[in-house]
Formats: sequence, structure tokens, C-alpha cells
Amino acid sequence: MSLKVRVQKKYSRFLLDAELEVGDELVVIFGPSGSGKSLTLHTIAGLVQPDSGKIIAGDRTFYDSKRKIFLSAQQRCLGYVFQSPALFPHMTAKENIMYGGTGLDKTDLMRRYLEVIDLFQLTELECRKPAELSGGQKQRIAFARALIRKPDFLLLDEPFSALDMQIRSEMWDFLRDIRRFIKIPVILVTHDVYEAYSLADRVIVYENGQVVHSGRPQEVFSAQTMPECETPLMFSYMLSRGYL
Amino acid sequence: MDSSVLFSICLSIKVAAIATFFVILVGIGIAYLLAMKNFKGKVLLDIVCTLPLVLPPSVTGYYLIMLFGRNGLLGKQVYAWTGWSIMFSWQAAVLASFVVALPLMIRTTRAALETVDRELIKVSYTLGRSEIETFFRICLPLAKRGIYAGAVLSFARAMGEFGATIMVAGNIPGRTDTMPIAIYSCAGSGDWQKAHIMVALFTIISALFLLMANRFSRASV
Repeated sequence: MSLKVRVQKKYSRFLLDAELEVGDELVVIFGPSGSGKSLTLHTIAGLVQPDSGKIIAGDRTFYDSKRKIFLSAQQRCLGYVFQSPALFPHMTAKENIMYGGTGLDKTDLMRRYLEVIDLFQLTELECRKPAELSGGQKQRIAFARALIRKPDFLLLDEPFSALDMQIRSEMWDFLRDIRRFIKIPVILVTHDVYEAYSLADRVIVYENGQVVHSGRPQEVFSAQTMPECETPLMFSYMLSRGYL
Repeated sequence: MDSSVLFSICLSIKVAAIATFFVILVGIGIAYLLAMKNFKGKVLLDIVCTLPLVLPPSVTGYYLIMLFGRNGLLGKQVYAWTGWSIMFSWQAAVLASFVVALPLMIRTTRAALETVDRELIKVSYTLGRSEIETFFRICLPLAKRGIYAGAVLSFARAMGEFGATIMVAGNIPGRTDTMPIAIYSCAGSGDWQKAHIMVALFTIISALFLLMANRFSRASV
């Protein structure tokens, strides 16, 4: 499946004008805070309506300003993991995950539930409420909840940024594992150079609401394209390995 | 206990319970609109729903007469269709209690709904859940303590309603004399013994309800 996005959204002092195409790969949208990365995800998810453009997923049109088509988030079948795990505090881990199984019948829901808790190693945590869980555990539950109904694509809005380096590194491994089981477009928003470099099949660099670079991580983060990335990349790498 | 005292207590509880039931239904709906939606006329709706809180009850009662009286805007139509008027019936006491208690429910529930993390609502939508489902499964459970507190306060306010009630329901012994009205009659006619009993009972009941509301409010923080 492919996801084609071309959106414009204007706010008083900011214009998002982005175009991207994502296949069954992990694309990282990389850029500084306020460059429009999360806004792009919000438009893809149907949480924000763009002013103009087109969003097409496979053979479904999610948004087309000319044809006046706008599907709500509920009609798009997507997985979205936010920066904070945003677990429902009144539900247990199991209830949180099951809540994501919209449209599945009881048997499928249970089967899918067992699959995701196995995949994310959550068996021991089923009955715990979010307040009793660590940051990494909460984020694993958020992933399981987003994936239980087999969404058509997965949007990750800086899901690891609030985690400490060790847990973040574990979560990266999880994400790599998941990608072996699910072949869907994954878009990860981050401003961490090392995260982008180590996870992406392809990197799209944003600046002031526009795509300024796009390509394989090695190309995008090369000294010629982004000389400013070399040093941060080295620092990030050293931090992740515990050298600093 | 004097049968008229017992009648007044039962009538007050019946009126307050029915009014609170409708206050909860309508109040949660309006509070949701005010807390979550942006629409034309939102400020006007907010003001209209809050007015009974600041207006003298006699003014609220006056508006109710203008609306529901036999010659009122709506009351005239109802009387023409059914030959029945709500005025000077126990249902009128319910209506008056509903109107004066509604702002309390709306304000408490709105405050509780506004504390629900918007990101949780967005998550629910991205998981394919409709707005109604999100409301019942996410917003309501997370705001429930505030809603309970609002319901208890509304019940207490409905129990104590006097001014608007006496204007639309009157003071008909054995028919519309709720406790506050019966206390007023007893004090007026010098029946102090009966007044003492009812005042004591009323104070105890009201204090108990305030205690409950406080508990809910504290637990919701």
C-alpha cells in the first residue's frame, strides 16, 4: 500500500506546504520543533483538516480539497502513537489494548489481543492500570493498542522522546521487530538525528513547513547535504552507547 | 409524625428526584457542548443557562409563568391541545426546581469535562471510535466524580427551591406544599412546632448532601 500526501495548511504565522509519498517502509520526518512534522501527521490522521491538497491511501481518498472529500479519523483505519502514551487512566492495560480493536468481532479481538501482548511482551501487565506502569511499558501498550486492529498505516509522533536513552534503545529494537511482522507504511516524526538515522528506510527533512531534503539516511545526513548533522549524530550515537 | 409534614418531605424528595433526573440528562448534554465544541451562539447559551443562578428566584418564576402559564408562550399551545396546564401542580414545582438546579449541574460537569485530556479524545478517534462512543467510554468515566458532585448539588438545590416554585406551583396544602413552602406557611401561621421539626429535618438532609458533594469534589481533584 502507498500513502500519497500533498497538503497545505495556513496559520497566521506558519504555512505547511508538504508533499510526500510513503510505501511499505519506515519514513522518518525529521526537523526542528515547529517545522510542521506533527501537523503533517495530524492531517494524515484526519485530526486536522488541511486548507487544500490531497491525501490518498492505496485506492482510498482520505482528503481531496477539489472534490470536497474529507474522511474523519474514525473512517481512516490508522494507528497513531503520540509523544505521551496517552493511555486511558481508568482502564487496565488489557482494556486499553482491547479498546483499539474497533470493528473486530469477539473471537478476532481475543486472537489479535493475544498476538499483540505476545509481540510486545505485555502478558504480565494485563491487569495493571497506567499509574502502575513505567514509561516504556506504557509506550509498548500504546503501540499494541494502535496495532491491534491491523491498521492500514502507522503514524508515530515522537513516541520515544519522553523515554530515557536505555528504554528508547529497547523501543527502537521493538519497532524493528514489529516491522518484520507488519508490512504497512510507517511514518515516524522525530528531531533526534540518531533515531532518524538508525530507524529510517528513508528520511524527509522539514524546515519551516516545507520538505527540504529527502532520501536514504546516509544520503540525507551526509556532510554535503546537512553538515550541521555530523556532530549531533556523533553525540547522539555516543549517548546511546553510554559513552557520555 | 404529622401526616402533612410527611407529605411535604415525600413531595420535596419526589420533586427533587425527578428534577435532578432531567437536570442530569440535559445538564450533561449542554455541559459537553460548552466544554468541547465551538459554535455560534455558545456565549449566549452559556449566559442563558447560567442566568437562573444569579437571577432572583421570583424573576425566574416570572419567566416560567410567561412561558408555561395558561396564557404563556408554550403553555397556551399545550392548553389548547390537551386542556391541561402545568401551573399550580406538583409538576410545576419539578419545572421550577429543574430550571434553578440546571446551572449548577452544567457548571460542575463542564469544569469536570474540561479537565479530560484532549489527547485521550484524539487517541480514541484515531482508534476508530465515534464521538458518542468516546463520550460514553472516555469522557464520562473520567469526569464522573465532577458529574456526581453536580448531581448531588443539583438535588440539594432542587430540594431547597422556594421562590420560583411558589410562583408557578403556588402553596396548595396537600398538593404543592414542598418542605420550604410548608415551613414558610407554618412560620406565617404561627405553627412553630411543625416548623421546628421541618427546619431541623431539612437542615440535616441538606448537610448530608453537602457532605456527599464535598466528598465527590475532593476525590475528583
